[in-house]
Amino acid sequence: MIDPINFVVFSSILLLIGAYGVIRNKNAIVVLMSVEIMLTAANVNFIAFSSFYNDLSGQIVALFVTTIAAAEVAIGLAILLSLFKQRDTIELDLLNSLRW
Amino acid sequence: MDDSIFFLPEILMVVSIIGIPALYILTENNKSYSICSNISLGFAFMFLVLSWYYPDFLSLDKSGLVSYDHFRVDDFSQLFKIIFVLTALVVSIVSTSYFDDEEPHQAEYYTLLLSSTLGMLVVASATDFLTLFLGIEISAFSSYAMVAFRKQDDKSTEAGAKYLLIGAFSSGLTLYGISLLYAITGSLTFDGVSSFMHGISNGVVVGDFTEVIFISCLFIMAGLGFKIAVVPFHAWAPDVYQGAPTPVTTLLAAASKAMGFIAVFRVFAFTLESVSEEWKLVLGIIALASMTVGNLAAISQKDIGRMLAYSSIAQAGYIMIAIPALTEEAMSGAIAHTLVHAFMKGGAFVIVGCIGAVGLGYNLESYKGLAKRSPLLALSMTVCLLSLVGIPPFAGFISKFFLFYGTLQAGLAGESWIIALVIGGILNSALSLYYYLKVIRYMYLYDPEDSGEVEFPNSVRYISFGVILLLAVFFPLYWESLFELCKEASIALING
Amino acid sequence: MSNNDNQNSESDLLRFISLSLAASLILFYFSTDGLADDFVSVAWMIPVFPIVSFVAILLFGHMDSRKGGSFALAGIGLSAVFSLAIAYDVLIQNSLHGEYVESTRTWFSGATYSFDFGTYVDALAALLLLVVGLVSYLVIVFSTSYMEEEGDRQVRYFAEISLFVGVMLGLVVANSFLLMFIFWELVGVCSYLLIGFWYEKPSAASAAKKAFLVTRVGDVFLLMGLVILYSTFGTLRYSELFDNPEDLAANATELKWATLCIFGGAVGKSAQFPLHVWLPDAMEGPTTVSALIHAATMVKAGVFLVARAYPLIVHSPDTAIYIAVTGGVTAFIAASMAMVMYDIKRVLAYSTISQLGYMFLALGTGAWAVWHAAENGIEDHAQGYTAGLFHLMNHAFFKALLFLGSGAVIHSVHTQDMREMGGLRKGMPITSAAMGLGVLSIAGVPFFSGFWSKDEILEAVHHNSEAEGIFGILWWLALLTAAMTAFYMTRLWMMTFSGPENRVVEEMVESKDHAETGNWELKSKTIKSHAHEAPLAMTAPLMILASLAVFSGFSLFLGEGFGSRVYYGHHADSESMIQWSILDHILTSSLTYLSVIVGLSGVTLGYLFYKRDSEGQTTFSPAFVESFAVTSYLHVFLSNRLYMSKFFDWFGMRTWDTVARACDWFDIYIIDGIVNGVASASQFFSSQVRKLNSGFTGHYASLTVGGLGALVVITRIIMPFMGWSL
Repeated sequence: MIDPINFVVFSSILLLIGAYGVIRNKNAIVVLMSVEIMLTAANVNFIAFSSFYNDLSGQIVALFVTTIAAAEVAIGLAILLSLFKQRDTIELDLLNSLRW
Repeated sequence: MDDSIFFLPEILMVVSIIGIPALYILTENNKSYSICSNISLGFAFMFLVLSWYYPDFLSLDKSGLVSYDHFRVDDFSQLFKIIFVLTALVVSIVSTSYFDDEEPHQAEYYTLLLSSTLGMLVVASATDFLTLFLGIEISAFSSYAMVAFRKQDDKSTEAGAKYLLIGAFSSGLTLYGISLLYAITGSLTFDGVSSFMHGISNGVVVGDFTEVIFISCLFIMAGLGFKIAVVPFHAWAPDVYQGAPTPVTTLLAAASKAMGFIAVFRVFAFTLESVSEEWKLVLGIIALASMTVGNLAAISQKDIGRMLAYSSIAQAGYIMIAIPALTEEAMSGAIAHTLVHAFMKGGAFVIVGCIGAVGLGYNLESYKGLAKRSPLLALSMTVCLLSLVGIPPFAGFISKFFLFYGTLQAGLAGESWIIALVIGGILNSALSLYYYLKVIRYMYLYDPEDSGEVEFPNSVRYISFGVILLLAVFFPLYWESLFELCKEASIALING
Repeated sequence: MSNNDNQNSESDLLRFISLSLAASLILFYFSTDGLADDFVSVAWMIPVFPIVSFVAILLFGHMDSRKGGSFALAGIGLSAVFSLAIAYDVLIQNSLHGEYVESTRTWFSGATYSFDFGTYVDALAALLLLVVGLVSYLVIVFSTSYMEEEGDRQVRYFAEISLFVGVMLGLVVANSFLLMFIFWELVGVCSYLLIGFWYEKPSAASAAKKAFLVTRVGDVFLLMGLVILYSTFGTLRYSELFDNPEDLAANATELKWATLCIFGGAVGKSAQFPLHVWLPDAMEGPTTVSALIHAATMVKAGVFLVARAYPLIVHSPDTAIYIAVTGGVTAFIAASMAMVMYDIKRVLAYSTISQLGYMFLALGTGAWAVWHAAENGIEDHAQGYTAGLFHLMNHAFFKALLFLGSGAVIHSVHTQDMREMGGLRKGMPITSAAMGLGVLSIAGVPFFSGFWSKDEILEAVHHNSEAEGIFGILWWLALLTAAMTAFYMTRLWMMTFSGPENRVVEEMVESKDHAETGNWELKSKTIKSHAHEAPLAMTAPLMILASLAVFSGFSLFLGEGFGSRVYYGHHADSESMIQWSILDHILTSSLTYLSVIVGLSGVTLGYLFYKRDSEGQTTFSPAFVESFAVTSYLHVFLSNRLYMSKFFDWFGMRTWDTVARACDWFDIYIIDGIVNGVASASQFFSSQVRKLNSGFTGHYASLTVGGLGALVVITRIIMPFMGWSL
C-alpha cells in the first residue's frame, strides 16, 4: 500500500499548479481550466483517503465534485460567451472597468 | 415519516424551480413567473414561521430534533431559513419593478433566484461538509448567472465573470481544505470531525495534526471568507455589488452573506471548536483587517453600491470578532447582528435599486434632495444607514451592542487580546459614521440636481415602510424576544 | 377665500374634530376592555399617538388638506382623550389612593445591566397629563386656523408640534430618571426647532439657538445629578429610588448635591434666574408655540421635575431653601420687568417666568416644611407641594388663554407692540372678554382661579416663616409680586383693548443718539383699528380656556378637594385641608384679605394708569414718566431688563474674552488640527486602500493567496518570533 502522504504531496502540487494558473493566466478559459485542476487536487485527496479509511463517503464527494465542476464550466462558459459577444475578447487584462 | 413536513420549504423551492420553466412553455407572460415565485416563497416563509415558532398552529410536534445524517432542522437553521426566504421574497417582489416587461429571460431569472434560495436553505440545514459544499455551490452558481443576467449590460457581464472566476477559485480552496480535514479525520460529518478534534484536545487521538489543521482552516476560511467578503478575500464584492442588477445585489448582500456566516459558524464555532487555538488568531486578524479596510475604502467611494459593499465588508469584520470569543453570548450577538444586518443592508439596497431603476443613477450625487422627492424612501434609507452605524435606538445599535458586549465579556473573562478586537470595532464604528452621514446629508440638506418628477414603484414604498417599522420600531421594542431566538439558535449551534 | 368657503372649512374642521374625538373614545373603550380594565395600563399609548402622527405627517402631510393638521388633531386628540380619562380615574375616582402604578418592561438586558422602560402614573403624572393633554389639544385646534397662512410650511409645523407634545407626554409618564432625561432632551430639541420655525429670520434663528444653549447649561447639571444618583443608589427607576426612604436619608450629602444639580436642570428648562434669559426671546416662534411652551410643555417640565424629585428633595433642606429663594427672587424680578415691556408677548413671557417662580417658591417651601417636620417630630404636611401644583394647573389654563388670545390679537392687527393697539374691544368682543377673564384670574381677583392658588402659596410661605426667617422675606417678595402681577396684567389688557378704535399715538422711542446720550423722543402716528374677530377655531379654544381659568380654582374644594388627591407624604388629613374648612379658612384669614387688597390695588392702579381716554391716550403717558426723575430712571432701568443682558455682555467681554480667545486658539489649532488631520489621513488611507481593488481578476486571486500567506507568516513566524502567544 502506498503511503497516503504521497497522495497529499501530489494533490498539493496539483493545487499549486492550479492556483498559479489562476493567478498568472490572462485567458479566462485557461483560468477555468486551472480551477478544474484545483478541484481535481481535492478529488485526489478524497479518493485516496476514501480507500485508506475504507470509507465510501470520500468517493461520493469525488463524484459530486466532478458534477459540480462540470456545472461550473457550463455556467462559466456561458458567461464568458456573453462577455465575448460584447467585447470580442475574454482577456482578463481588459476586464477592469469595475475597480477601486 | 412525519418529520419530512419540515422539508416543505426546500420541496416548495424544487417544485417551483421545475414549475417556472414549465410555465414558460405554457405562457409568455412575465407576471406569472414572479407571481409563482412570490407564492412559493411566501408559503415557505409562512410555513417556516408557523411550523417552528407556532407549532401548535399546524398541530406539529417539534419535540424531537429532526435530524438525519447529513441534514437537520433545529433552532439555528430555521431562524436563518426565515431570513433567506424573506430576503428572496423581497428580492422577487422588487425585481418585478426593477426589470421592465421587455426584459428577456425573466423565467430564467426567477428560476435562478429560487435555486439560489434552495442552496441557502440546504446550507442552513447542512450537517456535513458535502451537504454544506453542495448548498454553497447551488446558491453560488445561480447567483453567478444572476449577476451576469443583463447580457447587454457591460458591467453586469464583467461582474459576473469576475464573480465566477474568483468564486470558483475560492471554492476550490475550500474543497481542498475539506479534503485535508477528511484526510486526517476520515469523516465528513460535522459530528465526526468534531469528535475527532475533541479526541485530539483530550489526548485520545495520538499524533500531531496541528499544522494540517491550521492549513485546512486557512483554506476553508478562504472559501467561506469569499462568501462573507472579508479581507483579504473581499476584492470581488465591490465590483460585483456595483455591476450586478441591484435586486441581485440585495440577495448577495443580505442572504448570501448570512449563508456564508452560517457556514462559518457551523464549521468554526462547532466543528473545529476544540482546536480553536489553531484558527482563533487568524480569524481575529481577518476581522480587524476587514473592518478597517472596509471602512477606510468606503470613505472615498462615489458609487453607492460600492460604498455599501465596503460597508458590508466592515460589517462582516464586526461579526467575525465574536467567533474567536466562542462564548454563548458572543455567538448570540453575532447571530443577532447577522440577522439585523440582512435587514438593514437589504433595506438599503432595495432603495438603491429603486433609485437606479427610476433613472436617477447609482452615484452618491443622485441622492441629493431625495427627501424632497420621496420622504418615505429617504426616511427608510436614513433608518437603514443609522442602523448600520449603530445609532440608538435603531435595531443595528442593539445588535451591535450585544455583539460587542458579549465579545468583551469573553475578552475580560480570559483572552485579553479579544478586547483589542472590540476596541477596534468601536473605533471603526466611529469612523464609519462619516460616509453614512454623507448620504443622509445629501438626502436632506441638498436640493435635487434636476427637478424632474419621478414616480417610485409602490412595492418599494411598502417594503421601505416595512423596513422602517422593523428597524426602528419592532426590533427595538421586542428585542428581548428576538434575542431569545438568537440565544436558542446559538445554543443549538454550540451544542450540536 | 369667500365667506362661504370659510364657513365650509370651519364646519369641516368641526366635523373632523368631533369624529376624531369620538373615534378616540371608542378606541379607549376597547383598549381598556370595556372600561373594566385598569385605565393606567394604557398610559404608555399616550406619548405614542403624537409620535406616530409625527411620522405620519412627515410621510403623508403633503396630501392632507390641512397640511398635516388632521394627523396632529387626531394624534393629539387621542392622547388628550386617554390623558383625560386617566386623570379622571386618578384625580376624581381616586383609583390609586395616593399610591402609584408602574408598568415596566425590559428593553434589553444582560448579566450585569438592564435597560428598562415603562410608565409610572401617580397623582402628579395624572395632573400633568390633564394639563398637557387638554391644553395642547386646544392649542392644536387653535393652530389649524392660526397657521393657515403658512401654506406648505404647516407640514413642518404640525410635525414638530406633534413630536413636541408627544415627548412632553412621554416625559410625564416615564418611569425612570433615565427615560425622563431622554424625553427631556427631545423636548429641548423640539423647542429649538419650533422657536426657530421662521429660521430665515435672524432673530428667530438666534433665539432658537439661545434657548437651546441656555437650557443645555441646565441639562448638564441635570445629567450630573443623575450620574450622582446612579452612582450612589445604583438605579434611576422612580419606584426603586423612592421606596427606600431610609436608604435616601443615609446618603444625605450625595442627595444634596444630586438634588441641587437636578434643580439646576429645572432652572434651565423653566427659565428661572439666572437662566431666564432665553424665554423672552423664545417669543420669536409662532404664538401658538409660545402658548404651548409657556402653558403646557416645556417650562412645566422643570416644575414637574422638581415635584417628581420631591422624595429626594425633602431629605435636603439646603436644596429646598435654594429652590424657594430662586423661585421667590425670580418671581419678583420678572414681574418688575414685565411692568415696562411694550411687546405684548414679552409681557406674557416675563409673567410666565414670574409665575413659575411662584411655583418653585411653593415647592421649595413645601419640601422645607416636610424636612422641618421630620426633623423636629412635629405634625406638618407639604402644603407648598399641593399649592405649587395647584398653581401649575391654574396657570396652564390662564396662560394658555392669554397667549392664544394675544395670538388672536396679533393675528388680527399684525403687530406685537401694545402701544399700537388699543380699542380692540369692539372689534374682538370674544377675545377681549376671554382675555379679560384671564387677566382677572392671574391678577388674583377673588374667586378666579389664580386667587385660590396664589393665596395657598402665600399661606404656605407664611406658615414656614414662623420657623425660618428667610421665608418671611420671601413672603414679602411674593406679596409684592402679586401686586405687580395685578398691575401689569391690567396694563396689558387696558393698553390692548380699551379706548376708541382710531387714534393718534405718541410713542416714546429711542432717539438716534440714544446709545450715547440715552435720550428718548416722542413720535406720533395715527393708528386705525380694523380688528376683526378671529374664526371659531380660534375663539372656541379661548372660550373653553376662559371657563377653565375662571372655574378651575373651585376644584380646591369640589368633591373631596384638590389637596386630597395631589399631596406629598401623609394624607393632608388635618382639618385645615378639607373642603369647606379650607374655604372657611381662606375666607376668614387675615392673610387672604391682605393679598386680596394687594391684588385689587394692583388692578386699580393699572386701570387708572393705563386706561385709554377718548383720544386713545393712556393716563400714564410717557410725559408722566419723564417728569419724575425716579420714575424715569426706574423705567429705563427696567426697560433694559435690569441691565442683565448688558451685564452678561460686559462680563463676557471683559472676563471671558481672554479665556475665549485661548479656547478659540486651542480649538482652531489643536482640536481642528487633530480633526482635520484625522479626516485627511483617513481620506489618504482610503484612496490607498481602495487601490487594492485593481479590477483585475488575477490580482484578486493573488490577493487571496497572498493574504493566506501573510496570515501564515504572521501567526507562525512573526508571532512566535516576537514571543507573543495567545
